[in-house]
Amino acid sequence: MLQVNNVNLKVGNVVLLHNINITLELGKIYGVLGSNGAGKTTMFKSMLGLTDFTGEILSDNQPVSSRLFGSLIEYPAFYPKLTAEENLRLHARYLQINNPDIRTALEQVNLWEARNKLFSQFSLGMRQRLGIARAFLGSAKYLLLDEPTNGLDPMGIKEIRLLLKERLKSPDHCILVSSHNLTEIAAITDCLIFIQNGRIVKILENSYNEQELEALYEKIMTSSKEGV
Amino acid sequence: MITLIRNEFYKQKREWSFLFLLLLSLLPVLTGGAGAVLNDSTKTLTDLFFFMNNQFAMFFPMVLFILVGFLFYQEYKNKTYINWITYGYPKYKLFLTKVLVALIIGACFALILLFLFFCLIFGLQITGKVTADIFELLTITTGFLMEAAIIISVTVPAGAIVINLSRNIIITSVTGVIYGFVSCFFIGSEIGFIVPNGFAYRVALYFADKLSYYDNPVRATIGGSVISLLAFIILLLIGSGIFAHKRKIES
Repeated sequence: MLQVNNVNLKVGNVVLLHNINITLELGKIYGVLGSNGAGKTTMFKSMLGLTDFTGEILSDNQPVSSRLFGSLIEYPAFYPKLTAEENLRLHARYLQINNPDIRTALEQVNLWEARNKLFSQFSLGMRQRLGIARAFLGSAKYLLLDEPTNGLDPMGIKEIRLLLKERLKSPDHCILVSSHNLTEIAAITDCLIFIQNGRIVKILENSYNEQELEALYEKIMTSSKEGV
Repeated sequence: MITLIRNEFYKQKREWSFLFLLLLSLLPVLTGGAGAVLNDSTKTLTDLFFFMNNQFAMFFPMVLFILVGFLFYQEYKNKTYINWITYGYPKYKLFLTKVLVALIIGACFALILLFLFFCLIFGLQITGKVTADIFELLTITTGFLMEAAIIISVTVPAGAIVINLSRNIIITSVTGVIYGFVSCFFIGSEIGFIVPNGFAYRVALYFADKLSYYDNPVRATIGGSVISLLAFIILLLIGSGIFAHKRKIES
């Protein structure tokens, strides 16, 4: 269980995160919704220890380590002159994983056949999928996927959706996905977290279809704006 | 630490930029060699070393700036920096690893340069264009290795500071060029030992020609050695501090 308690972050006079409190359970996929600049990426970065926040982030009541996270933040970043397999091997070496199951990781995202291709030769969709494979390699409990379908075509988006929901969701993982794509969020998540101006404005179980979610999103975001 | 060092070398697979840097660092021998082969006159070993060493002292710091700059810039350019710092290793260790790898590669470049110089001397000896004995060669080698050790150990941490402040390889390379030239201004000065690269050059020359050393050798040797050591430690600490400093938001 991941607990985020009273997390605040201020840069200069700008409040980026304001009193964030959430508890995230294993076995669930959480959708993080919010407009650009709402604080989604900053919240993910804080979980990874990449910001100078105040407050605490605990995993099973212990201070969280970035090693418990698999992440795909902003962009699937890899070494362009290494192949897909070499990039994952390097990742495993950093995490000191003996005998990493790279084959399974690549097969899960349909990249095993392309394992010997250089990362620089990958399309954006392949890069995103490799980023997801890396996030799941090893013993990460918490997976942070920041707009994993960004820039993908409809088929690519569908592939990622199926991958998350049918292959990667497990009782051992807690997955957080941020996205602007309400169709995707409605289809794959168990729980919705609405964030605006660095505040969590609503947390709901996801029992909505795309149209309902669109209406709900508009309603929550509008009312929270008025509240501000 | 061993894992981190091995990982750094693993990342450099298929990075041909290092070959370019190696060629750049071999220029002093290549140009000196070409000159010696094309020139009909007979030269002494000291003459050849003097020519090679002048260019080495000027260009090698630039190569080292680009080298260490490249190692760090790789993370910034590829946007792998965020992943790299979230593997759970202390940031100062990540910094020291890159610096250590740059020191190792820099040392290899200097050794290859020396080897090529040996080959040149051997070739010229056979054709009768140079006269050298083994003792002379060993003496010059000692001086060159000391010079390379000082230049590499001080220049690499300096370059690491510049790349991590600027995150820009062009700025780092230009700073390297300026650093190399400015260091050369102090070579001839009696108090030039306060600048490690200038001191290193004179140390190398001492082994080739004792008369070219400082007028006050004790003061220069002790002062130059202490300052070089301090510069290495201080630059390493500053670089490590800059890199490990926690930003409000890492990017």
